[in-house]
Amino acid sequence: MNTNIQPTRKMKPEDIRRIHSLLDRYYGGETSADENRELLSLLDRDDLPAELHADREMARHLATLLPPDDFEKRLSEKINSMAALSEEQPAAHRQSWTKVWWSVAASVAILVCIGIGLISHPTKQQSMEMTPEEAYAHTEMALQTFAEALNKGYAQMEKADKATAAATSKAFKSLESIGIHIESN
Amino acid sequence: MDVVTFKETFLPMNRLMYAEALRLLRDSADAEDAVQDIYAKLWERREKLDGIDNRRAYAMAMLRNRCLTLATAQPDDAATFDESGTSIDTAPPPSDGIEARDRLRRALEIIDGLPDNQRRVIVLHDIEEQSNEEIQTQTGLSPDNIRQLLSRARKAIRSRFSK
Repeated sequence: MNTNIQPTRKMKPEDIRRIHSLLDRYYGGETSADENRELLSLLDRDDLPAELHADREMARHLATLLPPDDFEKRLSEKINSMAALSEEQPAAHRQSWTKVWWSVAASVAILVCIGIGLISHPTKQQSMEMTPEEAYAHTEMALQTFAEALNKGYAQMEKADKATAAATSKAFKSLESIGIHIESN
Repeated sequence: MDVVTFKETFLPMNRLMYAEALRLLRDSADAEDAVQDIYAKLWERREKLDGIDNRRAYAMAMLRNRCLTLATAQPDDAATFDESGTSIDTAPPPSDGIEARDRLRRALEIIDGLPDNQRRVIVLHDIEEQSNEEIQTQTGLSPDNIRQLLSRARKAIRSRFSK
């Protein structure tokens, strides 16, 4: 899109009038999304008069801030494919109450640490410009990540416990088979 | 959370997420990748999202963390980052790519330079394409205020292109 190309033909007066009418409403904050699209399309024409080139540049600059037209469609398809994939995998196991309580305890501990950290070290990430909701979400996300890590640890411990119990049971059975009885507590 | 609820919750905010990723990464391809990554991560965590009070803020916080990680990891060429397995072209951009990048940089600079209220309204209206009613609900501004702020913002941007 070269803005220096001279129009090879003249734009129709009614199209120019339409552009001016839309621009008046656009700069008045009154155009609809459809009218904005119509305006952008008219401004993008090669036969646009030179006096409207600055408006075209503005429109083209603002258009760079928009996602591609098919972005939402592609995201929707990605979600569909992830959903199809997860249907093939077993559902995640439920957390036990013990794990939940440990997660809560850990969360409280982390909150205390964060609080102490904030008091003693004021944040340097002012460029983040977080809203209170986002700051809350950040904390919530950090806690969740911590809880997930903790739960993984407990899952490993549970696995180890089960393995030990199985081995002990096997040992007891072996001893019983040769006539030695041990009372377990 | 099933796929329908997931889409209803997060798909409408794709433009908001893209705009924020663009602001932080200053590259359209990187912004697309970052947003797609966040949708994948949100999907992975979908079972846990029921306990989240403000899912929109949660998703935005995830996105910001992701973008800051990307921007810190590869400040000169964040476009080479790839986690999803999709190949990303790392060759120097063609001339129209450079022109598009320059436009994007200038557009972001102009938008960032607007007064807070004007920036908020023009981003909600022109970038996220929210209706005046939705903007009213989010900002508490009256329809007249929204129109005036939008008008001032557009005129201010236009003045930057006057010869």
